[in-house]
Amino acid sequence: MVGFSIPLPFDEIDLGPVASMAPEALLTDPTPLADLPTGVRAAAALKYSRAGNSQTYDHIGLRLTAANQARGPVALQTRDGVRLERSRERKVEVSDPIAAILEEEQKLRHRLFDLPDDTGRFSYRVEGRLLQLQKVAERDTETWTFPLTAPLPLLQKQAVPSDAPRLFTQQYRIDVPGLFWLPLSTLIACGRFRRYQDWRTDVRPDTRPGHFYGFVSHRWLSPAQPDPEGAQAAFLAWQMFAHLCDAVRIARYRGLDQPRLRSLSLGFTVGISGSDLSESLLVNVLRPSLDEPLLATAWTEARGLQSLTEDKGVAAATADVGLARLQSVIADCPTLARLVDRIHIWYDYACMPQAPRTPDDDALFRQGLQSLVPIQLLGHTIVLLDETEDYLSRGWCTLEALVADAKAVSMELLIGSARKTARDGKAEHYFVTLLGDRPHIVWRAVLDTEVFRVQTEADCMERLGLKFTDPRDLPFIYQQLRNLAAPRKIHVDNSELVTGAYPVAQAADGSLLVPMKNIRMIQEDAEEGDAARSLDWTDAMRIATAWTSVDAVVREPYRQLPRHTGKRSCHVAVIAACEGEAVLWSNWTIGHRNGLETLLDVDLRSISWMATDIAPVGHFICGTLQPVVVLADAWVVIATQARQTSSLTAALSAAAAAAGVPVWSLALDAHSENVKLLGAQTSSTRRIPAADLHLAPRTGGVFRSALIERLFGESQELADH
Amino acid sequence: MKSTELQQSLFTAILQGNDLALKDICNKHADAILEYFPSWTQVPPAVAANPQAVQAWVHCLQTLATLFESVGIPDLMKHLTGDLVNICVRWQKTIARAKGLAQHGQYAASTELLEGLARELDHAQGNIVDDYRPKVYGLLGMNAFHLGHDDDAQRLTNRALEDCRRAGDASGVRVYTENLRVLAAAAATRSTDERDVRMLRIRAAIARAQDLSDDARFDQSNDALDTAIADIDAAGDGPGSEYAGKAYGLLGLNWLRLGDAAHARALTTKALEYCRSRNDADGVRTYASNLAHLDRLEKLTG
Repeated sequence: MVGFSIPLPFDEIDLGPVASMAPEALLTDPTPLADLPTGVRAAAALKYSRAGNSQTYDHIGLRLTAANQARGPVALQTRDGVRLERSRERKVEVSDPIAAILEEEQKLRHRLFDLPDDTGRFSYRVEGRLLQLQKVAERDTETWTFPLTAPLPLLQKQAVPSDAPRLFTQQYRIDVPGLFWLPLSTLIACGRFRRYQDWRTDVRPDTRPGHFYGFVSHRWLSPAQPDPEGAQAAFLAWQMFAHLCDAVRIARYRGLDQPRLRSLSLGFTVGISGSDLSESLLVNVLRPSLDEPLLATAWTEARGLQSLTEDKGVAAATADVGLARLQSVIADCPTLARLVDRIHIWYDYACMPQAPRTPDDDALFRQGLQSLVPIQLLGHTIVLLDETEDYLSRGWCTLEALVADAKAVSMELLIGSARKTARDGKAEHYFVTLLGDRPHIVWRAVLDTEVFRVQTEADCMERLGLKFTDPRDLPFIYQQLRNLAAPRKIHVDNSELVTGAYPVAQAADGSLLVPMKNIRMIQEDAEEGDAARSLDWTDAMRIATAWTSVDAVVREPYRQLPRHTGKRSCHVAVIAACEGEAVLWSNWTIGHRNGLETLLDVDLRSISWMATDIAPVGHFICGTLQPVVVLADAWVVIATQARQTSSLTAALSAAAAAAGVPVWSLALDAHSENVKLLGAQTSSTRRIPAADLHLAPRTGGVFRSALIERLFGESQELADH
Repeated sequence: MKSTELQQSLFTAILQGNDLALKDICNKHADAILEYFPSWTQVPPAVAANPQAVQAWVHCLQTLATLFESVGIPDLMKHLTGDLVNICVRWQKTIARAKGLAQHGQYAASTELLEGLARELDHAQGNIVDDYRPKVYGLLGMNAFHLGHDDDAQRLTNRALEDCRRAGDASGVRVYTENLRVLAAAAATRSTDERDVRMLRIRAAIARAQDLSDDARFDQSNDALDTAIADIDAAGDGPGSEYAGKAYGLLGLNWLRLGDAAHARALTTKALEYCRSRNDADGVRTYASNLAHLDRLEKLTG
């Protein structure tokens, strides 16, 4: 197990009384943090984060969040953090009837039909299916609530069609070796899951258009039987049926062929719509198999069952282990029954041969194992969730959730057990927030293992807190996690820790151009002749294709490179999510410099990397942030597409462009048309004398919220210049 | 630049979050700011009449002082030391800390902090005091509620409500009126009186109807509201009757969504009448606005 994983200068940081405080105490009362000197707060937070009695990534993340005063509203989410939050909630939990009263109260407020007939600016937030509007700068801070199902006319005008995607299986008949689908009707008829060998004649190897396929991700509740009581079968079957009924309701109210709408300004679905699963059933099952008269019949059947399906069938499932009631309900609804026949699921225990296996079954099992990711990509991922932290502590479950997240597969969370929190969706809320950061944490763990080589695979899994029913699964899961690409999504918050080298462009007159704030004001240049160019460096996103056992880590975040082509000089600025990723991409860039130099007709003479890390829980080789002066004829800023658009990257690019040099952005995760020339707006930059830039490294890096001030603030004078 | 003109430019930049303009003015007029700043710490009478404006004024002074201090000029911050602004900052911090403790379930510790502050506020006067006092009593009321001290919760929340009414704080009136309704409903959960049981039933039915309406299940929502209205009729003027406006207002909304504007108008009118009869200012404003919306719709559709 790796120990202290930050560089030596941190030894000099004195944490004072904070050192002995538990993260729980700091989260409740952060006052002692205010006594730490401003310049060492990031270093102190890093030091505190590694000083706990556990070196798991989640524990480091929790301690880091606790010791960070600058955290924004959406800081890093860790399992340890969620446990703590649950514990806090338990302390403030009120009794059930009182909780119901508090929940009711906001629903008892009067509601407007539309905005009052006046003008002004409004701030908004979306909570579940409700839009909360508040007039800006009003003395009376009243909030107006409107449902997204019946959006304001203004929002409706800006909405665009946004149907759930059609599954691959609508266009292609797919027969993957070792892959079998279980008809939902078979599960309902049987009442519980049986092992594959017990119903191998009932499962189907191929897919058909007009049918729905769902990959079920779930916990095994015992080593030999995932669902010994039959509860998962009941919850899955009832909720699938309820979502189908809801799809029928949506089709009836919205129109069978009317698409779901999405507001461009809000980024949310507006108008009558259902869950992603209901919408997928509408697109993949209802539209291919119903016409208006059949829809009317289906609605008549579904409408009569609303008392059972209104809560998505959760209460009915709780009382129907064995599914006898669901069998009887469906028997009375022939149109819905025909739709149920078109739904198929993949559930490991039921669809892969289980131990003990014959040699033939073992071969089939291994084929299925190798096809797990493709199986998931074929259909809609359904997570049967009972306990969020435990689900995400299972190796298989984490892999399945991360695959769905990375591949942008539609995912639905279904309630997996009868639990108290089912009503208010707490487990689902925690799952969504944890899953937001899980890919970032796992990626750092893999980089620590592969790039920094500070731990073994087993250490990696242990520090991720992943458990395995069968320890022999560990190498397979590790390899699958290693095969995932670097996360393309970014999480922006004030608590991001910036380390490495911040490149500052030097103009021809020797002065420096620096950003005044992190703001996105730069525009892509659309002039003729500057059309986007293509350089497919997507292989840099994966360890498997970007890093070998002979690759070595270079500690310095800024390097000058030997003359190569003799053409105009070029600086490459790599903006990465963490130090490991920065090292990976810097090495890749140097190793593949020919392609870039040819494309842009330049000579790559220097490279810098900077990590802007929302989850600084991994190994650090640098751990400082230092401005470096760059004099070059051209710049290339390398980052993912999402990070190219972030204000931090945009401000850095704008400052370079303001120095009068061409600045290209290279989106590493795009295959083509990913190298673009940027045009500058200089209003967010300022010119300073070179002597005013303090070049000393800032130990511990700098939190995003203080980045510009800590790097360039010292040179600001309260005088005309 | 004159003192007032400079002060207005600075405060506008601060309140609009325009950092560029703020730094530009500071860079150009640093000496003048240092000279005029002490006079700005006296809140003008026109501003002092409005607690929110006073808060904004104080915020601007603090921002300026902090900005100058960050570049090594502590003079402005020194001017603020020991005066009203710092007292306000201390009050703000105490309230924030008390809220934090309550969020972590430490209601007794939160109450202890707030009681000290309440004593201080009870012996102080002024617009800012009028702004802070109901907040403190409102928080004390919620803490008492969580600690199971029902009578104290009722008394303290009533005090907050009265303070807000006196200060003309509509937002505060709304919050503490709701809190009192919660307290009454919470007390009803421990009662066996049929009137209390009915009131809880009415609340639950309307809340469910709102959920169904938000989910575009308008028919089901109307069914739930019919049940609630039957109970409201049975309640007469007793507990639960205060929800009549909401029930009819939501029925009106559902019928509008179902495409029957005439039915929506009749029900919304009824909601407005109920709210008027109970002096429910929010309800009156909401349903008058909804009727105006129906007028506009009618004009559009001819």
